[in-house]
Amino acid sequence: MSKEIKDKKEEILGSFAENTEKNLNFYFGNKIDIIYNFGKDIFFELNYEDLPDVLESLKNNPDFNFDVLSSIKYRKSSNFLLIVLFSYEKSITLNIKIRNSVSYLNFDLNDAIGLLKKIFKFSPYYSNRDYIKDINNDLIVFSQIPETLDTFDLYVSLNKDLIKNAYICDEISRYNADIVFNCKEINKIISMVNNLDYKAGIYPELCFCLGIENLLQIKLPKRAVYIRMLLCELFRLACHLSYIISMSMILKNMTIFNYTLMEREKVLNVIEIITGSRIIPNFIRIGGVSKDIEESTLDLLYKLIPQLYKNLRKIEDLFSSDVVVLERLRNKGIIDNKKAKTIGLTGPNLRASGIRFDLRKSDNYLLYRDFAFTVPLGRSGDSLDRIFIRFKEMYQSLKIISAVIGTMPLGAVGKMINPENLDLIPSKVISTVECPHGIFKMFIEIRENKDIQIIPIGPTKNNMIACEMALIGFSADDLLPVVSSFGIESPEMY
Amino acid sequence: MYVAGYGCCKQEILASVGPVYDISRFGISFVSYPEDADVLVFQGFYNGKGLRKVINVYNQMVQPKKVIALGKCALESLSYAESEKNDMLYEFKKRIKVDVYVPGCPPRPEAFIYSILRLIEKP
Repeated sequence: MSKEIKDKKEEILGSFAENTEKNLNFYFGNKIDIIYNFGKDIFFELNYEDLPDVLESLKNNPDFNFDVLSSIKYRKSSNFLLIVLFSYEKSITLNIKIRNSVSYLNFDLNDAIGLLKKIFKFSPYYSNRDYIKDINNDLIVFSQIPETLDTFDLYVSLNKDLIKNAYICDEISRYNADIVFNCKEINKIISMVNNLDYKAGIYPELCFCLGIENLLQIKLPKRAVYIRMLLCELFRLACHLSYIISMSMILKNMTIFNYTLMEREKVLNVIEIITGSRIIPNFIRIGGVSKDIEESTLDLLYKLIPQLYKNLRKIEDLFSSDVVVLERLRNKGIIDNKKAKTIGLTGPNLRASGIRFDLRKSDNYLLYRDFAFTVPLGRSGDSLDRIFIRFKEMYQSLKIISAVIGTMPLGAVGKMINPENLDLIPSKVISTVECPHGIFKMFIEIRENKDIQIIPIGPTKNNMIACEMALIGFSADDLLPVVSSFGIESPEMY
Repeated sequence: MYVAGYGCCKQEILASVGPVYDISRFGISFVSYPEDADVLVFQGFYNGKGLRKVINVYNQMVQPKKVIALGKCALESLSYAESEKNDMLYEFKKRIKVDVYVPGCPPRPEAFIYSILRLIEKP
């Protein structure tokens, strides 16, 4: 695609966001207070009493068409309620913070969901549903299986041999992030925030730093952005490889398990040489990255790429030639594209059901525009598609990595910024990245006493809802392969 | 050996199973039933309910049994457990005696293997 067409496309997409902002002001001018526009994320505040009217017109009015409820975030301690709506056609996100007109009264989450229930079908999934544990207890899978399903319990009710209803209980992975992320020191936050995605720790760091840079209007040196991109793709490789490891563990295919672990070690080795740590990088700083990459490391990585490509092909062949694997996964746990759109899925699980949506192409948040790569698509959205789409994404990552190494510019890797001396004004920012599981957002609020509060909005809850939907109607033997094919890891949920 | 919890340290434990570090050459294998386990690995993030689960697992294990606490999260939560606020952690500390502490965030697979070798050396 030539540059002119690309620029035109971006103009149209940009005008979508501006038009939505204008329409919002036109329709609910007296109800809405503050509107911020961060590219394709629009944020505003709303009174609790006006919620049902506004949401209904946002869904049904053809000027808006926000028909997907992508997330609800609730914090009891700080009386905080955030509703996130999304539109696939315009790829614009609406973030609505709800205010109480009487400040000392607390929200009740169940009340709010009672209002939302009539408008959005999947809103009850965000409330506390622990009562289902007493109904669904024909089959209980506790979180004891090594290496794979460790963040939740499964409660299933059966009709003879078929699954009637499934409930994913995530009570062991609920912890209060309010205490952890109410902090003044930026360096401390960067070193802690990578726990939010322990399989690909660089993405939360990147998301936080992009938000603060957006607030301060810092322009980065080109080499720093290229190094960031290189690391992002390396972590995407490592994350997808560990997904395949857990999948092979569930299917009891130890040949694939051992082969994939070898390849993952190679990727982790390179990450360790660059950042100094294998899993938790703590590498990205505000205004750049912490250290430069040496030429010898780039050479080593460049030599590794054909080797990795060859071995990944071999592993994919092993997967696709195994009859047991194919029979256990084909046509099981289907999420078709209509269902995927209403749930609000993102990432590889969405692309497996045949919808082309990738933030790296549509939003251009780092310098991904400089490189040619394709967004792979699945056909039917079954468990097998969800595995092979990850293989295809890994090949594209390798392609991006080799292109980044080939065109790595010279220069500085960061600006000299001391994060302790930043004068941050009380404000709010939303930043977005495309992580290996889906779209990862962060709502950053800087308060008057210079406390920085972070609220992560991750793709895990949507994956969980999709998983519960996909299980219905299949036999109990398919339970574990279908559940693990969604790749659910949930530290960023609360 | 039984691994409780989830998190970054579990990634490194997974790496120690593979052909590069190969933990099975020391005669060590991972099980999913607490009755079969001799060693409990305490690692990762926990809330009250998760801790209660770990205590249940520990009670189901057969004597003699050993405990390894792995990683920064586990060590920090255990070392600051004396305040009255986190009752569950305090109870956990009273009931369970940890034999080996392994620092690091997350500790490398070599450190994990070394801790097990120390356990085998101990009488």
